[in-house]
Amino acid sequence: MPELHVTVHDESCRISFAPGLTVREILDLTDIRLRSSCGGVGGCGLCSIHVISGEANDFTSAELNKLTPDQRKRGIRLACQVTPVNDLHIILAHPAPHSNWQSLSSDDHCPAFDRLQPVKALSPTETSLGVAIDLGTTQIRVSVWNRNSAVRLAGRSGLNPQACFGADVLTRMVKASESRDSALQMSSLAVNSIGEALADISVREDINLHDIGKLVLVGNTPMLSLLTGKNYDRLIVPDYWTKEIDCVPADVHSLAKAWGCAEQTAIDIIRPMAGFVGSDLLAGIIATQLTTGPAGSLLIDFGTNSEIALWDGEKVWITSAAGGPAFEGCGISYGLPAEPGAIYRVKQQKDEGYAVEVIGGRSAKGICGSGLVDMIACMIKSGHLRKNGRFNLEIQEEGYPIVKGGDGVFLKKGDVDLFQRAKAGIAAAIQCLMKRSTMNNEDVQRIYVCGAFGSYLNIKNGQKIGLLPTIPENLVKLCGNTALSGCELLLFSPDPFSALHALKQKAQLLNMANNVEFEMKFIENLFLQPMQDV
Amino acid sequence: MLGPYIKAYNEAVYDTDRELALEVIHDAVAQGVSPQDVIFQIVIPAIEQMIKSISEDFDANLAQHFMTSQIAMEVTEEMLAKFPSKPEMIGLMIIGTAYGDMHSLGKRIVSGCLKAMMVETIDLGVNVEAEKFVDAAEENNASVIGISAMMAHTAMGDDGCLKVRQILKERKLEEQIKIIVGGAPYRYDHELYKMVGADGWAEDGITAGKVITDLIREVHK
Repeated sequence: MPELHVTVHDESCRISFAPGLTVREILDLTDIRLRSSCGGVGGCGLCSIHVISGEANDFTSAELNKLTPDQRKRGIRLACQVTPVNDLHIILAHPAPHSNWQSLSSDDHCPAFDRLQPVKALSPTETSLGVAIDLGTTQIRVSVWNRNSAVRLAGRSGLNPQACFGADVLTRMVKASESRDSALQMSSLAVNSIGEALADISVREDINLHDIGKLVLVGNTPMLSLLTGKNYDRLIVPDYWTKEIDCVPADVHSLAKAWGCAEQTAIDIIRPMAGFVGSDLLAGIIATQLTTGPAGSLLIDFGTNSEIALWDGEKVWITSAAGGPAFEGCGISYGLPAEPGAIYRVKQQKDEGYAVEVIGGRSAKGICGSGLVDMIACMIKSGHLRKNGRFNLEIQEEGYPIVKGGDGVFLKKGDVDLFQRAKAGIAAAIQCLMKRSTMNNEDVQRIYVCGAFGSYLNIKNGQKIGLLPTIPENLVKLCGNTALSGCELLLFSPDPFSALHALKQKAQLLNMANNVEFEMKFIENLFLQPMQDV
Repeated sequence: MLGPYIKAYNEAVYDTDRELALEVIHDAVAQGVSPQDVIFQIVIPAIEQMIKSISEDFDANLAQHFMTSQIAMEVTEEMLAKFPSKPEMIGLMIIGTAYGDMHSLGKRIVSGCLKAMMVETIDLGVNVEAEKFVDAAEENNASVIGISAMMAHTAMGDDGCLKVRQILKERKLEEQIKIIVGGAPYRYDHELYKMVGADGWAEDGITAGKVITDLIREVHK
């Protein structure tokens, strides 16, 4: 059989393969993982590889579309499009990271922490440890607590390994619906991954998992349905987006077993409210105390999918907007999530150049969402970019340099375009919620920006290009990951279900699909300028 | 006489400056330019120029397409109302997104451009069942069904274009009703439209105008 010779970070391996498979399909059979957000149809360009030698098919139309002539000349190809004819040697510069667990940083806290009350009424038979889990599309976060003292003993975050089935929710849902095998695999990937996080905590922090008395888990509806293997096929049918989806497992004992907990551990998978309103958003609303704050409190959870909630004093209006992946660097030429190597702040310098700050302080490998916001705002200010998204100067094929040089980081026309559409979707959704609750920009009293993207966001720059309503900067709170904080509050709440029930009673869901108003607002908000009046 | 207006309108559209574009048109009408001339001499040539620049531009700007086609649609609607007699349309098309697909913006651009190119559209909205497409086409005597799909599973699935084709076949309507498809999946695979049983596809909203006009001519031949 022919062999695929793969070089990753100076290490090489050889994989025999049956002719006819693409490089992506061949690698899928190993534990080398590629980045991808399109499900392998040549749509995202994330799985680029460098072909050193060997024979393969000609460039496909997807590759001609995604790769510049210069990239093609250098042997850059898309792994999902290359079908080797014979032995092939490739270099994989950006494999997807392994599912290794990092400690939650101490600034991953949120105001909710001050409100945690020790659970006093634990019965003597109840064990004292509690676990909160936020099962996200991209990241999984786990924290372990002493419920008697309300002290966080350990925390972990890691990547959701289901990403090998697709970066976004929809791709995973479609895969699951097409093949029961894929659905089962995704379920066990998530279950095992949480198990690994807990095992890692157990070993490194010397915690006995049998002492866990209670475990609470929140997530978006698709993640919960994939975890429990229930009703995921319904989520690709739009009619279910605003309906309740049952994704509570019939049997939590098998989860307790898989996670190394005692059989009697109470496991609460918090029910989502509807197809597009997961229990992660409910947790976020609880963590920010949105519904006890002033009327005109707005929550925006930037994620792979973005959710928006607006409290008008009586009702909380909720919707979801697509286009989030751009804020996590997905689909952007030099895009990265907020991880080491990503530019997260950009400032214009006097001499035309840009000063950048990089997460981890090393040299820049790419740019994350908050860096992109800064960069675009700087270019609007300097006049290099028009508010309609066109560059006002001639740029080279590789794009406009953010960091110059051979290993530079560049901004392309298509990146600005993608960003415009992502932010227009969110802004249009915000304005539709405002309109429905008869509010205007000046009625917004507070904005909670949630999600990893929010942590580094320059609020003024965000407002300048219309990502957030323009209100005084001190009224905009950057909250980080509120889903886990809310989950922790639920862990400590004596009666979480009545709190959730009360919240659901106040919620009004709005579906932006097929909403003519949304479309008009979307087009208005494509411009890179402060948000206009509703 | 039209020269300066054409130039000013093109510049305004290039800058996606809606106010300025409308101002130019209003000015032209006030100076005696007929609404017909506005559409056929100013708006349509501007769209055609856009088509040309898109086909030459490696990464054309989708956001800008949305904005410019919105302007074209607005101007056209305003001018159509001013026509002395009801304008003669080239043909009629039923448009909607495939079953299971809620992405409506691509479809919106197509509608805007078609209106300026004198093709009437009936918009069935999003998440449209195959029967509904064919029923509407039959009832209204439409020559073309346009199906927009932004996701692989709605483009290729059994309930989308494939089913519309099957129903057309069953009802023996294939001669008088043609199918055009559009959306992201068709851009990645230029042969995909054939696999789902469509008669044509278009890369973007503006080229769609031309393909649809050709399909309508074919039916009326």
